Amino acid sequence: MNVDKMILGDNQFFGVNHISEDKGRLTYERFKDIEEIRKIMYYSLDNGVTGVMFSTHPAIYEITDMMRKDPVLRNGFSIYVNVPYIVKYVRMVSTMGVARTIETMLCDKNFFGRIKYMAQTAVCALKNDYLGIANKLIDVEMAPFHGLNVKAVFLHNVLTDLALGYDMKNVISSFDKHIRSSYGIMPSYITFNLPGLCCLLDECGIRNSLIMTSVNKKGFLMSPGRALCEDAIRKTEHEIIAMATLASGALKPEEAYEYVFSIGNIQSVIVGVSTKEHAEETFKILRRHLS
Amino acid sequence: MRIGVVGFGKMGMLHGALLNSMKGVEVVGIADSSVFVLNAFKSVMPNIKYYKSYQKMIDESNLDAVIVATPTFSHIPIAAYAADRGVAVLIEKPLSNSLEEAEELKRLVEEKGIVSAVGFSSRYIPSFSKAKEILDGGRIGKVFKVNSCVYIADVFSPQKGWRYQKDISGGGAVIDVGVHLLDLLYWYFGEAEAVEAKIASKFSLHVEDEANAEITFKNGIKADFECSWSREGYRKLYIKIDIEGDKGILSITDQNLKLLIFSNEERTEFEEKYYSYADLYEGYYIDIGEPQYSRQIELFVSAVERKDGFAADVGSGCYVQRMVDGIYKSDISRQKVYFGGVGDECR
Repeated sequence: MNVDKMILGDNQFFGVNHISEDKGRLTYERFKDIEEIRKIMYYSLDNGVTGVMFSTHPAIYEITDMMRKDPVLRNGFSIYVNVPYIVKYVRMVSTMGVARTIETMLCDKNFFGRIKYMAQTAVCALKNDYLGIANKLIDVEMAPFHGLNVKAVFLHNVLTDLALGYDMKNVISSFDKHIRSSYGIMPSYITFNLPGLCCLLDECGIRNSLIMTSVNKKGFLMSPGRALCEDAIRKTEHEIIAMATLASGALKPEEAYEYVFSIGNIQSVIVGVSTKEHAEETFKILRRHLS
Repeated sequence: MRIGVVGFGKMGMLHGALLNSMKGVEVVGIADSSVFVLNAFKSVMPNIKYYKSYQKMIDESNLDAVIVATPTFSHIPIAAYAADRGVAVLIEKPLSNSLEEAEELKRLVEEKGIVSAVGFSSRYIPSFSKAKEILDGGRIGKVFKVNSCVYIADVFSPQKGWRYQKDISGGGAVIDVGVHLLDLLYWYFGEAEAVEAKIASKFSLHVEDEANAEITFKNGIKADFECSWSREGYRKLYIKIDIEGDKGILSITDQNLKLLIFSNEERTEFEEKYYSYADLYEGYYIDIGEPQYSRQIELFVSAVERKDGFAADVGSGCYVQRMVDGIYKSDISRQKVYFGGVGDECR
């Protein structure tokens, strides 16, 4: 698979900052204006970025509408989707429990083709096909991306790592099959536990997949530890996209990428930028390492 | 080690995964009141046994420990059923909606000599653990002032569900999110002597959305406490504690830690140290999004194996419950509420 070398992340657009919630809140306020998001996407394109990652945050409809209307963005970017938008589910599950969350999601007024999904889901429920219901939920999350060039669908790190914790090979296999057969694209995984996930994918017989995982000098979000993760990166046959490369701002781009590319076997990096200067500085250093 | 999980919502699911991925530990039973939940997980994890009745699960499964992750009002009866049969318990926070019931459980746990734990997970957030080391090492000297707050952007209209019914949940923002901060303050400064508080409801109909309190600890330290689950801009739970001592100042959030040590008596010169979350993050045996839970489970399993005490046990839960109770009582009486020892009535 031809994975884009530089992928723009979206955490900054939605106020996610692992180091400082204060900083996260400030950038979130700015990106409430969709024009600010458009600017960042243009700065990224100007710097050679060809991929963008999106979570299925409630604001995603506005962003994908903008992309469909703008041929430069529509044609310039491959999209990597991260499903599901976990914050929403966590809140819903805590408040109303698992069963009502699924019911509410499938009745969500935002999504297109509600009747068809409801009917298909009812069939799954009658057949006790709970993985089928999960796949329907993925379809709901994929709805905003119609008409755009989606290259891969990632299973959110919390779900990937939860499946790892329970050793749920059937969940991983079902996701893999559903994404390949329904969308014809690459099923992919985000994890904070790369060595463990590589073993689980091996046991599922899944090869040559795409894994996004934390890679940084601090060992931040690299469990069970940096050395074991480096070893897994070198040995794996799966393609790796490096994330959290700047350890949420704890590292400067120069030293950060010096480290990332010293490991070997990494050809793609995802990084979020929030200003023109930040985009120019970061992507310039990245281009030098990637060339 | 054989584990049973009661209540398979978000926390039950997370604890189960964290336990299941430890060597020598196995989740053998799951009890939940929802048939949908039981059937759904049975279809993906067929090796686990599923129960509608937690009593049946505990009776049949020869468990070493039970995780109690149900809505608050049912914590005590479930934990008591397990404790009575010599099974260790980890109870999600808050311990209970009633101080009296919590104290009854404490007596039972002590009588049976079982390992107990309450899910005060904030202790295992790296910055708060580091702060405990710094405070215990006396680095900032004698503490004389504490300011603290806990916020989350959660409730902005009347909500449905058990959390918002006082008779079931025991209260609102204070018992739901405030307990994390109250536990940290108890962990750092010990038992409270008195509390003076006000609560307010901005959106919820039956529970409070915010609270302000001044807590006086037995060692004389006074802490300002502010709590809200209706604070815009706080996507995730945000906790901040500023502690001023005669030798330095410690400022901690769930994401970083700043330590300032005065280098002269006039306190005009100082050395500053800053630790980000990335600096404090160590590898975990597994990290499912919030690694403090991984650390909590590791310590719990180790305590059960060694049949040893666990720091955040039901006893600690009772002290925290007492602070929660005091906040509510002070708001009603509009007076400062004084505590005796645990087991005594508030006077």
